[in-house]
Amino acid sequence: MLLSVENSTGYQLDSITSSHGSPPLTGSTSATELLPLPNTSDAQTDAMSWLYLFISKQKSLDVSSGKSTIETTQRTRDEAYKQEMEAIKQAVEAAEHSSFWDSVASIALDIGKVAAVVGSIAVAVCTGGVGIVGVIAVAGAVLSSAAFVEGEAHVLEKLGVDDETASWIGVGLAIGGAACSGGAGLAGSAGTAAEQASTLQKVAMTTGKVASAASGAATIAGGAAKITSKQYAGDQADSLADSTEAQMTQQRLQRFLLMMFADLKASQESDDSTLRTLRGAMNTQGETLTMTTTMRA
Amino acid sequence: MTDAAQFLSEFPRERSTPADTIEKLYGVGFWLHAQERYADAALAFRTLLRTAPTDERGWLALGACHEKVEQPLIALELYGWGAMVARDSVRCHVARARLLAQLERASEAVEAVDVALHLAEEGGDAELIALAHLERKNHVAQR
Repeated sequence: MLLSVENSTGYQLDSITSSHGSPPLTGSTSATELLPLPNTSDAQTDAMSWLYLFISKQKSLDVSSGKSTIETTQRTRDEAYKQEMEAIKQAVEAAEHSSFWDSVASIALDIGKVAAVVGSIAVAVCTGGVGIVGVIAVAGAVLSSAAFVEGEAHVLEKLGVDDETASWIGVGLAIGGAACSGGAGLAGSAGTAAEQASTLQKVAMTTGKVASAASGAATIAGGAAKITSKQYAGDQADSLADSTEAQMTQQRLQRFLLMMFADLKASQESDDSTLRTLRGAMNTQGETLTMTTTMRA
Repeated sequence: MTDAAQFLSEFPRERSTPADTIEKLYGVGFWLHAQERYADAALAFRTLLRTAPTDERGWLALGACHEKVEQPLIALELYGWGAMVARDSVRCHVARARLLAQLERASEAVEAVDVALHLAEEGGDAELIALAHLERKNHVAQR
């Protein structure tokens, strides 16, 4: 099926086929041209009514479900922080006391837990964890809403992003991106993948590898209760490295959560405002389709 | 009857599956985008994002809206997040690469397109491989 989309001046923008369209293979620099063509073949007025319905229902749900998701994430974060601090404390105490060898096994296991928590976001994303994916989706929507309402500069300033920052949330959540992007896996080799990965992903890879290494080493050591002082020193260093990276992640995540709390309401109000314009959009679209049909007849 | 229900009752509608609804959401957003109604289109794409966060089209399209209203850094964030959530999204990496190039961050752009190429080759989709190869050629030529 072929459907033409025309703008208000009658200029044909694209020819839409019933299958997924192909991105143009030109030297384009526009992201717009990367957008796959819609796979819809029926009148789009129906889609407009669905959009209205969706938003009407979702706008009231977003705040409550978003808060619930955030609260869960916050609890996880708090728990991760407690575990992290406890592991470091134990590591330090163990190193200072004569009971060092008595504590090795349990400490090693704790380090393993901490490392697992550091990498848990990656696991959640890579396994399609609904929680984290949902949080990121809501965050993306909130970011977009806030930017349309308040402007790019204001929102980015709030997030602490400048022109040179690859991504404000990237340090923490990009662990998942690195792990999911093939060749740049958490436990992957550094070689070609590291050279090809983005800056953001390199940071993530470093964090991920530290977490992975600490987790693996600690589990083995804890399980067998056999560990050398050299290995233990290595694990201790890994634990501290995890701590620094994890704190960076937590600070960014905390900022992100605070912003989400504040802006979810703003987002809803913004949607309310935009929703009102959809009626106009539907009428305009109907008129355009009618005009197109009439002109072709 | 509520206002919304009354409004919707004016439009006869067949029952849709969730997949159909997602397609329709994308379709209407695409149409609004083509009409240069970027704020309205963004609303549709945000709804798509919340409904189907792993669909790369939501991230791509929402980012494209922000590019159109001259908010490239917001778009950059969205493409980056999209690349994380919509796994193996070659297009999100390509979009990111194009934007980085426009922002005169050439080395990052090449890195991003390298990731896109790697993913495309891993996925084996000839169309995406061709896209990524062409992108890389263009980016390297620009440097």
